[in-house]
Amino acid sequence: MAKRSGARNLNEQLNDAVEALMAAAPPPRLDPKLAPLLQIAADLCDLPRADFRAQLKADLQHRAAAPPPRPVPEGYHTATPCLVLRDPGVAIDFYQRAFGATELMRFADPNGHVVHAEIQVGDSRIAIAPEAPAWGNLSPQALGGSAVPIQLYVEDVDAFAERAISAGAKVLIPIADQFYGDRAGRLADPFGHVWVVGTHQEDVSVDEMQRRAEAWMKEAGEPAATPTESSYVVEPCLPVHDAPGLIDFLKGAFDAEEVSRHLRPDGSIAHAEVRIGDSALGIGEAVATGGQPAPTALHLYVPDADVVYARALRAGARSMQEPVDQHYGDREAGVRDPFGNHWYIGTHRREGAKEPASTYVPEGLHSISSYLHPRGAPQLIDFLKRAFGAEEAFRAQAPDGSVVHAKIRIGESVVEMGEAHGPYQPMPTVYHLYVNDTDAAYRRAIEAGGVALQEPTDQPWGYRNAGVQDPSGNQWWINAPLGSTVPAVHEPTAAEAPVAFHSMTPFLHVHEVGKTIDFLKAAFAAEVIVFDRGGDPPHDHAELRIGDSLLMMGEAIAGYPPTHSAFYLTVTDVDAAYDRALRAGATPQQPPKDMPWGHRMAHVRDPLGNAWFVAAPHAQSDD
Amino acid sequence: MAHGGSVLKARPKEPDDRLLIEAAQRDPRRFADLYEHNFERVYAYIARRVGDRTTAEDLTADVFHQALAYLPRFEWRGAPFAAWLLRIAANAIIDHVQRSARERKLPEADDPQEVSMEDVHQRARLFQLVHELPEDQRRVITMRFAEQRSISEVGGVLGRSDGAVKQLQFRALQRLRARMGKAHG
Repeated sequence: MAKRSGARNLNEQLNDAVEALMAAAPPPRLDPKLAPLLQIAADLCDLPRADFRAQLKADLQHRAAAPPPRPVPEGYHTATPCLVLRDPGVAIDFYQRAFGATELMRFADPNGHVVHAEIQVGDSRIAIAPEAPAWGNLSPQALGGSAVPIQLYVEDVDAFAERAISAGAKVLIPIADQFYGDRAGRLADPFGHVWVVGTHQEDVSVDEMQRRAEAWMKEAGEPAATPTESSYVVEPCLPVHDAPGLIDFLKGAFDAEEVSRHLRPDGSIAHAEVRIGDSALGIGEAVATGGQPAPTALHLYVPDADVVYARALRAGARSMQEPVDQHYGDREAGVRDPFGNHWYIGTHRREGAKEPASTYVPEGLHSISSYLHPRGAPQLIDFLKRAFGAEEAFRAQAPDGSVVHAKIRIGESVVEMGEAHGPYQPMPTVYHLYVNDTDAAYRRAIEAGGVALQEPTDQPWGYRNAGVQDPSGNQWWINAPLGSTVPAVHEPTAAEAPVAFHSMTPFLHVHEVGKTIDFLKAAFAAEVIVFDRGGDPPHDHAELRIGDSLLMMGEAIAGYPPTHSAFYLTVTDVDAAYDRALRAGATPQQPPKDMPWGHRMAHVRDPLGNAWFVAAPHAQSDD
Repeated sequence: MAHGGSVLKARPKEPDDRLLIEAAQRDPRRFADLYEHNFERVYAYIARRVGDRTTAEDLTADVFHQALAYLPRFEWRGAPFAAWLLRIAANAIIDHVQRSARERKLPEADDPQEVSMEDVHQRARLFQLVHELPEDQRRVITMRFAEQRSISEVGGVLGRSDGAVKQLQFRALQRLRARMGKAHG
């Protein structure tokens, strides 16, 4: 083809200009005729790809053809349970291992905390939500149990249960063939949720179910007594003005062993427990009795009454009665301790025998029994029966009907009494009554005619207690460990869940636990949960709450030298918290300052040398 | 934000938006018609505002996905459908720019008001005109500009010499220029 130089020049020129355009290079000199074409070329640089155009169209057609969203989305039934859990991530992990569940989705907030998750167990969907009391989402730990057991039907309940148990589930009711045609049982997961798992084996008509249920109940007899009154324990208390002094006396006189000591903020003993033989006594600074000591009488069985009598006198007691053989088989002495308590010290002997019996405590009694001298013993006995399910183990009556001696069994303990006469006058006594359910025991005692001293209340030392006064003026302080009225949430032991770690609490060893507690209360509004003394050798132990976290402290003793640590304490107002800490005696290290990670932070040192970084997100860090 | 409504009314072949919208609301598969009539406009608007082709494609796809999803709630108020699409596009661009700025600490791009609607419509028209070129010319233009290929690559695909490709390119641009001039009338 003949090359026409003019036309070729224009093609070439234009192309050169287009190349320059595409390379974002300055354009070469151009024939002015070509300028408009180059302008078109410039606009064409944004020309969309035909492929892209077609692909997007196809994609839109595909979406347009999809059916509209269903009101009940695919994969959901009408009802979906939502389990509230403190740590959704750990829980999902557990359900995967224990139940073979699959994770369907999880949604986290910008901080990475799971806000909502869903798992599938078998063919069912279960939602999971984190604990958020502000939104009304409470975990089983917060509620003291699960209000909604979930029923699971599985192909092989035994295999399912075995897998779940080896992953850390606990058996509440063992897997067994049930009267309604299922083989089923009940499990609790480590987080407090309850699962009723079963395999349906047999279709059973309602009539047949009825028949089987009746037969089963007849066989089983009376349902096993839920541990109530049979497990009550009576612990006589000795409220005095000098509790440490009494404890010392008891150690000296009766070889008592101090089990625990709970202190009040002012350092006085709120409650201490000593053990003599197989019995426990409570000792405390008199408060419940209006600040007045409440001396009482106690029957103490010992291997050798003469020896103990002598010891008691040496320890400071006064003689009430020298050792003498009683007609009922005991060799008995009486002393009055420096605090006004009467001790009937006895050693049991078989009737008529000269040698001591094989045990120095009569059968059915313990080392210590409380001994009451009420006016109107029959009425008191009656009240104790109605209030605490007491049983009369022994009663000896005089011809005029008065009670000479009675042994009243309350649960595992025995309270002895005889009608007040002569030198034996009423000594209103304070008791701790240990039960399984404070509220139930309290209600029953009130209905029996007891006078309310204190309604059931959760106490910081881990018990729920209530107070009732009986017709003779004795005080009964009913105690049960917190949370004991519902099945305790199961914490997996190492054997059951080798990889389940649940929480961590920092532990400081310090020389002066009390002083450290004072500082932490003043500086960081710490709340004392426990502060007691025990162990061997005896040492102080405390558990505190700061905000929503726990801190444990132990007295630095041999083998546990003082520790120093650093803590990152989040607060709402760093400047105020910093000032408060300094006023409480902290040493300033760095005043409040905005930090690069979005927190405002101050640094102080406590009197022991621990570092405390007090911080809060500063306002600008919220997007 | 300029609707560009007056400019659109001047175009004789503009389909009746209202009919198309109602058809698509009844049957979402008819959304394709709205897509065909508005793709170049949306793309031209976005391409003018964002730096690269990939981003322009992603955002264009976002705009049409959103439009399809929200179509049931669209209420005809007399403004052209394109105006709604371009509003979605403008928001998509703002979101993208803000995200990029946060992620890469870039300064924000130009204010959207500065893009002229007339400019957008002209370029959309240009893109549509490319489809009306004779086959060879169309292929050269799309390969050169949409796919950014070299003269010799294009020659290889078409089985033509470099010179022939350059001539096709020249003729195509001439034709487009002429057609664009007519449109302005």
